[in-house]
Order: sequence, then structure tokens, then C-alpha cells
Amino acid sequence: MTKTISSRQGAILAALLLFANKILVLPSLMYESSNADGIFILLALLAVEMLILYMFFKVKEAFPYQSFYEIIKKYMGTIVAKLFYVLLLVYFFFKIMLLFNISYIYFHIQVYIDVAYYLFLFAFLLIMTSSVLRGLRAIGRGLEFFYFFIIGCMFFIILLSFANFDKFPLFFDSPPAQYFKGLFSNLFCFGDMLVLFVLMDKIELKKKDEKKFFKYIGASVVILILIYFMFYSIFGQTSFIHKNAISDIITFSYRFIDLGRLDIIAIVTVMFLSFLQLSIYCYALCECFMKLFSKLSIVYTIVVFDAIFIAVVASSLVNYLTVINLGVNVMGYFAIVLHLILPILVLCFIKFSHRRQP
Amino acid sequence: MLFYDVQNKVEKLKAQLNTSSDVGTRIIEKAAACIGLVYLKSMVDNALFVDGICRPIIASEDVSLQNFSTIISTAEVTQIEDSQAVEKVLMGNVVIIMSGEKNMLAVDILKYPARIPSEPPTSSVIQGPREGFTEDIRTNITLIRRRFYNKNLVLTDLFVGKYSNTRITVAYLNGVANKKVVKEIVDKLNAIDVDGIIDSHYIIKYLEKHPRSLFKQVGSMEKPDIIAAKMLEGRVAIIIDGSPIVLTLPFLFFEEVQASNDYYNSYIYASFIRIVRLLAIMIAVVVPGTYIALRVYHQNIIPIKFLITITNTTKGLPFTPFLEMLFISLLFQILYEVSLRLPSYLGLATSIVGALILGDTGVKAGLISPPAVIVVALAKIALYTVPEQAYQLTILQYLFLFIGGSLGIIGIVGLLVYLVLYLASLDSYGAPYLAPYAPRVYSDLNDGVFMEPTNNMKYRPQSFKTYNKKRQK
Repeated sequence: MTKTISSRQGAILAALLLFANKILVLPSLMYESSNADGIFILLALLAVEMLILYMFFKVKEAFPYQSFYEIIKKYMGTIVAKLFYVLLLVYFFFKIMLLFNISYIYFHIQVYIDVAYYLFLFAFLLIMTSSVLRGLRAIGRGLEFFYFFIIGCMFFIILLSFANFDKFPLFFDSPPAQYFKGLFSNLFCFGDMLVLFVLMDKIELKKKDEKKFFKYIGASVVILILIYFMFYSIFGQTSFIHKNAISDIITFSYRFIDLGRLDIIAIVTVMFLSFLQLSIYCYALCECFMKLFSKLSIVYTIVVFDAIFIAVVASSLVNYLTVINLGVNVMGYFAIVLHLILPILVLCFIKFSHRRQP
Repeated sequence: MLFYDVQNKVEKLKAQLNTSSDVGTRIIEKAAACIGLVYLKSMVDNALFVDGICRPIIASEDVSLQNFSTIISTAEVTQIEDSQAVEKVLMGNVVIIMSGEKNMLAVDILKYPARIPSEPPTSSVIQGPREGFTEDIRTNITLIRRRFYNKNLVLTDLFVGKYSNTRITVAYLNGVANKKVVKEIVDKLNAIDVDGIIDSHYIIKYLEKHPRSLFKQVGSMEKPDIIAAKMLEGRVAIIIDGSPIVLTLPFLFFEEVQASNDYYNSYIYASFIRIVRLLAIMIAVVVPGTYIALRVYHQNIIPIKFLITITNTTKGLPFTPFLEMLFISLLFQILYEVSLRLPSYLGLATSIVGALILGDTGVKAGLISPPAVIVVALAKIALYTVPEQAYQLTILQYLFLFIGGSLGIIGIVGLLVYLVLYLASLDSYGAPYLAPYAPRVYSDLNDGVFMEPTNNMKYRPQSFKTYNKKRQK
């Protein structure tokens, strides 16, 4: 099952990936750097995502049936192609590490108090491995199956946590330097649309199908902005201590309090999202790996990934806090490099493809 | 001389049939010819044999191979070669051997005890047709044929099984069913090399694309009205001699949520009851595992009043929550198996012993807790809203029980994701198993979980790419 996925499945894939790493600890981290003006960092970084998406459409339009690797190889040579895919490989690996660790902390705080880190490793690794082996089509269909449930839960959470408008925070109270610092330190949590480039030859996309992407991604953007608004308006000055935004906005809601602990909806939603997002990232990583080592099968690739992932997680040097710190500080540079290389490459390709046409 | 020639041929044929005790032979001597008859006493209509074959032959003056069809008017007469004789006798024909003739005649007067079509116990309806298939393939074909007074109903016969030589009929609507699917099914059936086919379930595994899968991949039904409706949608029916279960392909997961009653009731009620069935499936599969997960790992999620109730009732129990749940589940499973196999008068007694005495005494003795009994009872009852999937769902129930007890809620969500991805990777003869939801096939949603009135179902299901897409204007 390594056939193509429909444009709708591609759009849902992108839309659900947009939530990765952004609905738990990120609102709190943004508050630390820019207070409630963190919302503007979100908007700016979402604009970066949209730019990457736009570039994806342009490349797909120019090269509808080729993979991104083949395109780079054709115009810039094998070495550049391999180098770029090594960067992507590392990028996706750290994305997986970050997402896994953030999810672990979240579940550890919310529902598992005395449970070992390895329990999570086992559960997540099992799903990632099986989904990669089942193929992109199965992942695409699975995403399609769960999409309305996840989005429905998200809207439900926002509705239940509906904030008091009187408490809406005042914006523009942080100096501009802090925005840029926030932009840099949170950049690594964005750039999820890069996955689309890796999977571009496996997504069926016609000209009119772009609307589907805008529709589904638009819904995700609206939900994200609403969550951040709710979060900053509900917690006012204490946002920095609330590390699990999506759960906290519903736990501390004064409405429907009689119904009991409603954050179970958020917990289950985040569980579904984490499993699906990690599966997508893992598939993208394996795609990169197989492009670099074209003779390797998917089974070998996933076994190698599992071994490295277990080794890194089991290593006493790398614990979840190290990974998060790495993601916020060091990987910011990495993300900048990747997000700069990509536009340059895209511009080059489009130029080349136009030159080819009479 | 004529007599000995026929007698030799009759004896030879009898020897080919291993001189079985039910092989009947008769030799009729006429003035100008001698006629030998070979048949199976257990497979022919004896009255018809005497009155429809023997008497007319004796009474007739001019007997020849050519005018036999006028002598025997009560059954079909076909000319056969001597190499076909054994097969014809085995299929309930009387083989007629004439002196001086190389060819033979076969008269089909097959008769065996057959059940009258009645309402099948597995799919009874409140309103709607009550006919059900029987073990007789000819009756079953008639039940389908009389729903299509149309030349486009095509029936293809195959014979499978080295010893059983079972007749299998592949039925489809020409111009509606996908020819590629029909060919694939016929090829798969032809490729079966087995000693015998006793029931339709014997061939299911040969037709499934993933025979090791837990999930059902071939539709099965005992009601001709439903088979006819499925054929109108573009599916292919497979009728097996000796089995009242007719198989259909392609098969989609959501077919199990649909029931024949849905189409004979209000579409609003049908939609509601389909949601209830889905909910029941979820309860049956997930609830016992979730209960264990909540009790073992996530007590902080349980509402405080409910937690107090659970704590009070589980105080002093000798088992862990997981073992307690497993114990009750297995107890139920044993009672279920016993009630299936015991005569009905004893089955009732077992139910009373199981439900009242064991359950009630278990709670009073402090071995099991009432919430656990309620959870298991709810889950086990919910299983039977989709009786044909009950066995698969039972396995899933235990799987979720183990995963809930070992990994908690993350294990349950993880297993759900795994199952959906697994089901999403399955295809049934070109049709995605989770269609019309994954992938989304918009035109098929009118008969998915939500149902529209039948006059709004303008198109045939597109999940399995039928020819002639339009169903009505």
C-alpha cells in the first residue's frame, strides 16, 4: 500500500499536522517571550506555513508527477539532493522527538502519574511502525476517518471553555525585539508543511483541488487562533504556568463544571492527534531515508528508525527536557536554514521549469 | 446377444461406481432392442422413475435414441457420451443405455429431501419478506430468479471439490456488476483445489484477500430479498449447494451496520438505529477495557461520586480489577457456549444458574463487584446488536481488555488508531473496506450510517465501481 492519496486526504494530512506541537506547551512558551502578544507570533509563523504551502502548490503545478528529490537531483545534482534530504531527515527526526516528548509530558501530568517513559515509547513506536508498514494510503484513509471526530472535539473544547469577553487581553504590550526572539525560538514548532514536499509525488493534486487544502487548513488555522485567544484571555497574567493549553482552557472553565472533569475530551483528542501526527512524520522520515538509500526496503528503513529512536530515547544523555530545550534553542537555527533553503530551491525550480517551456 | 451387450455396459458402469449399494440397475428387453437403466436409488424420484421412465419405455413400440424425448415427457432428456455417464448418475440422472448405440441418454429426475423456505433465525424482520434460503441450490436460485424477471440475471455454474464435486453458482446482473470482479471471483473459485466443500463457509477463506485477518471480508446472508438488493447495487452473489448462506462480494465494513429491517422502515428510524448499532459496537469493544484503564491508571478522571461508589463496592475484593473483569468475562463466555450447545430446556436452567446464582452469589460473596458485572453485561449484550460480527467483536473486546489493563487509556486510543489504519489498508475486490467514510465517497453516503429515503438513492454505490451507475431518474 504505497499508492497515492487523494487531494482531500492530502489536505486533511496537512490540516491535522498543523496542530503538531502547537496546542500544548507552545502557547505558554510564547507567553514567556512576548506575553499575550504571543498571538502575533502565532500569526506570523502561520504565515510562514502558508508560504510553504503556496510554494508546494507552485512546485506541484510545475512538476505534477515527480518527487521533490527527483526535481532537486535533476536541476542541482545528486549531492545537493542528498544533502537536502539529510537535512530533512534530521529535521523530521527532531520533530518526532519533540512531539513525542511534549506528548509524554502532557499525558504524564494529566492522566499518568506513576507510569514509565518506556510505556509511552512502546505504545507510540508500535503505532508509528505499523502505520509506516501499512503505507501512506492507509494513513490517508485513517486521517480521513478520524478528521471530523478530532475537529469536532476541538470545537467542543473551544465552546466549553468559552472565555469571558471582558477578560480578553490587551495586545501590543511587548517590545518589538521580543517578537523576533519569540519568532526565532518557536520557529521549530512550525514548518509542518514541509512534509508535503516529501510526499508530493504521492498526493493527487489538480488545479481546483487547492481549494480543498485552503478549506481544511483554514479550519485548522481558525481553531488554532481561537485556542490561543481562549488561552490568553482565560489565564490573563498566569499563562506561563499553564503548560498544557488545550487541557487547561477546558479544566478551568467555569461553565458546565457540574459535568465533571471535561478535559478527558482534550486528552483523548490529543492522543489521537499525537498518534496520527507521529505516524505522518515517521512516514515522511522513512521516505527521506529511502530516497537517500534507494536500495533499502520500507521494512529495513523502519527497523533502522526504531533502533535509533529507542537508542536516543534510552540514552541517559537525552531526556525529554533536553529535547524540548534543544527544540526551542538549537533547532530554531536549523529551522531557519531549512525554511530559507526551501524558498531558494523552489524559486530555482520554477525558473527552470518556465525556461524549459517554449 | 443384445441383452448381453447391454448387461455388460450396465455392469461396467456399476463397477465404475464401485458397486455401491444404492446403485440401481434395470434391463428392459424389447422386440428390436434392449435398454439398460442405471441410477442412484438415493438420488432419484422413485415414483417418477417408475411412472415417467420405465412405464413409457415398456409401453412404447418403437424405441430409438432419437425418439426418447417423445417417449419420456416428464423430464429433460440429454444425449451423452459414455465418459459422462458416471458423473450424470452421481448427479441424480438415470442413464439409459441402448443396445447397438455408442452414445447414452441422461434423464434428470434428481430428488432429495429439502427444507421448505422459511424465515431464517439469523435475520428475522418485523415487516418485509420472510423467505429464507434453504440447503437446496435449485430452490435458492429460484428464490433469486423470481425477483428478476430479466435476461440480465446471469448464473454461472462451477463444480468444486475433488470428492464432493459441489455445485457453486455465481450470480450477478449483467451490465451492473463489474465484470473484472466477476472474473476474479470465478478464477478464485476455479483455483480451489480441495477434497470437499460442505458449506459456504468452506470457501470464504479462498475468496478473502486477507485470510488471516480477524475481520469479515465476505458478505453472508440467508435472505433472498437482501441478496437481490445487493445484486442490484452491483455485488456478485455466490450460491453453494448444501448451504443456506449465500455469499456476496465486494464486502464493506459498514454493511454490517445495515440490516434488512432498515429498508422496510422509516429512513429516519433506520438512521437512528444504525447510530445505535455503531454505538453498541463501540460499547461492546471499548467499555470493559476503558473501565479497567480508569480503575488502574486514571482514577483522577472518574467523577468523584462515581469513584466513591466504585471504591465502596470494590473494597476487599480478592482480585485485581483486571483479573476480576477477566473472570466475569470468561464466566459469561462459558455460559454462552453452554447455552448454545445444550437443549433449550437445559439452556434456560443454565441461564438462571449463571445469571442469577453465579452473578448474585459472586457479588454477595465479595468475589466480584457490581460495577464490573454491569460493565461486562452491558458489553456482552451490546455485542449482539451485530450478531454476525459477534465473534470478531468478542476477540477485540478481550484485546482491549488486555491493552486497557496494561497500557491504560493511551493503549486503548493507540489500538483504535491501529485498527482503523489496518482496516483502511484493506480492500475488497477493489472496494476500500472502510468506504464510504475512508476514503470518502460522497455519493454513497446516502446509505451509510445515515440513510436517505430510497427514492433519493439515485446512484448505485460507487465504492466498488459498478457499471451503469444510475439507479433511477
